[in-house]
Amino acid sequence: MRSRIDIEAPFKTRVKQAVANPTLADTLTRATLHLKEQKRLSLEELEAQRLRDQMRQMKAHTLRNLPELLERFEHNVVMNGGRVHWAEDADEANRIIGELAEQHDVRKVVKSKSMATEEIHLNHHLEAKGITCVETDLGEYIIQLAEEIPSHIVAPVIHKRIDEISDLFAEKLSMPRTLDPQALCARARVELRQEFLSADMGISGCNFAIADTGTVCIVTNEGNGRMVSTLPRVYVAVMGIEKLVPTPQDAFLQYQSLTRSATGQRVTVYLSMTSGPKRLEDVDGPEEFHVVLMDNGRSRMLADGYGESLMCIRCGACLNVCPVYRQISGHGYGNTYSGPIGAVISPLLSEEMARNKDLPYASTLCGACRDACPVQIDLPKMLLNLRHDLVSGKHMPGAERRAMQGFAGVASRPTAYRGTARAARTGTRLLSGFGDRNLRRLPPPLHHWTRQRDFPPMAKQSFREWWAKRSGTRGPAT
Amino acid sequence: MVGQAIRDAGTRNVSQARQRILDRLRQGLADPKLPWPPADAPPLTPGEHMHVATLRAEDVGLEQRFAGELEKLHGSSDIADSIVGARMFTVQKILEWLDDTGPRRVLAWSELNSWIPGLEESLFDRHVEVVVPESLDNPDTRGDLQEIRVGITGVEVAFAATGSMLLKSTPGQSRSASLLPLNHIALIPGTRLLPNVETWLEQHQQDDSLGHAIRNSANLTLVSGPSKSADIESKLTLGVHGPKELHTVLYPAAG
Repeated sequence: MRSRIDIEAPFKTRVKQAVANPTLADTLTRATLHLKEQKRLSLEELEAQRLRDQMRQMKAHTLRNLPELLERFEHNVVMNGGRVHWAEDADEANRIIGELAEQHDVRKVVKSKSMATEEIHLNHHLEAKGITCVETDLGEYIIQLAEEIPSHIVAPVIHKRIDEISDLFAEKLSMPRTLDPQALCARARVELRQEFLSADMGISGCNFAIADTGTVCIVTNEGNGRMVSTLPRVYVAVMGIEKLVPTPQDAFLQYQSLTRSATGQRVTVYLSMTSGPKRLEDVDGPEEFHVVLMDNGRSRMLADGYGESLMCIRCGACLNVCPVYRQISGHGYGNTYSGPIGAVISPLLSEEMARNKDLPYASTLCGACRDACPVQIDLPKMLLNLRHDLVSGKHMPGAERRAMQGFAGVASRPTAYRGTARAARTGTRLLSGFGDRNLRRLPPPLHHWTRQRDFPPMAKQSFREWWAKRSGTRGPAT
Repeated sequence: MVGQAIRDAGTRNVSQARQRILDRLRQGLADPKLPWPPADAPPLTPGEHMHVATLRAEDVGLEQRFAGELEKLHGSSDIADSIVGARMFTVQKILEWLDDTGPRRVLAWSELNSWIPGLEESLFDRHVEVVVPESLDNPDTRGDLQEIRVGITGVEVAFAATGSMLLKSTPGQSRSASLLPLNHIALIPGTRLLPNVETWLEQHQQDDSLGHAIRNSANLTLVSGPSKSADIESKLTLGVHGPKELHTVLYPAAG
């Protein structure tokens, strides 16, 4: 079954589609609560706040020294025998990887899960050149078979039930239907092993990279990260420029913070650390190692005051606690990065502001994301700042902006405010038939507001009236 | 000539991108009103990093803690009290995995006898062929190695608090032996078993060899349990790409 959310549709359409799917919120709630509980258990056994403080200090130091650390990292990759490419935006990153593929006569690429390559739509670009791209993470493989995009940063297929996956394997791989996850997994192993052995190029993202040693680290449970960085002749790691850590100690601190925050694991099954191509007389490993350092809006985010969001380690903890994410799913956000962090960075990456102007509103500002974040990024504050920037940049729809200006005008004049409020009380109670039913639709021009929201009828008396009466009978509070 | 011109243009663009990115970052960071990062952002100094996973008071020994942690990760262990015992456990496990249907071959690191003296002879006696590839470049070699169902390796170092082992790629130590087969057995002498990864990092920090320890091989992999996934409805599946079973033999070092 295809996801019923059309990624290309406007935000409000996507939200309607998500909310209309009755099983989606259940599936997501179950899965995210499980991840959240696992995380809680794994952090209970240690000084969790100290870990968050150390992470925040380390990441702040990294950002403050990012230009020097990038230069140091580049130097060390080259010393290890690798090559570094710099890309200003998605187009340039795609062009660099495309040229590398052409130089090496690459016909097939195996990929391990990578948000960075999703961000630049690399597969699409390579496939246009006639190169086959195979996603090898089990979840991503399923997503690719279904021709969808991931809906969660660490659990890409979180929105799909096993019977849907079984149907998919039956349709695409002619496999007999089964509800045994191990059987589905075993089949994927056989299919993908052939791809690993025959691919000419491996591409991965990068969870973090060590500036002091020129080492790219990828974190997986399945082992596909090891495969793509070991078996093909050429290995390319694509990373945002903010992914650096200064030292090996910092790397292992982040590794353990990441695994506990993402899935509640003390450690993942594999942490692969690549320092260059295979050495002389090594048995296996790639002959060439390339790193693509990608900006794509990140340096501008820093300059525009959103630097805090560049400390994100992509653990997905903020998604797992977000009430909005549970209702609209990753696909509701319509972007590579979903959830609270996605709502912040999607509009800022590249030139995506215009398309994503609604995303900063996909939050109730309840603050659960800030409390869940292993580096304590103040996501609600950044969402508010973004809303402010959007409004001052006149990205807000005209009617809504005029309404807000009108409200500001009335609210700043007490007499006008009291009069308007009285009229609204009568009006809304009239419309609800003097009951307590929420109003589904207000008369124009206020219908703009109720298009996405219900409106409660107002109370019979205002707070001021209630207070005056209360003070009259009991005397003023002192 | 045209090809050369295009290559030059490519190089120029690349270095321009580098310069522009670094300039934008430096310009942004130079703004005194920048809300983040703070102007004073000290690094974590070596030794300041917290030990995330630590030993507990009830841990009777590193071996027991390691075995307990690995079991939680769906792996298994034998704890031997001598080299002879370690050899016996190792051969036993390999024979258990090599049932009658598959080839009697194991994909191994070189010089198994340096890990457990006499191990190669013991396997030879049981008609088990020890395969140590020199290179995987040839597609035929790859196809052939694909058939082998058991991999056997040592470890660079292992960490008790998380049931983890660090594997290092060197000319005799293939990555494939711990990656391609369905079953993996790792040999862990007591001298290579430490409380946690932070202990290892601090040891190297003290004699200034940490950078070297990380980058003197093309690949270091930390392995904790058999390959697994929870992608399908958060349900556990094993052996997704790497080994489905991981067994370790812990033993006192020779001599």
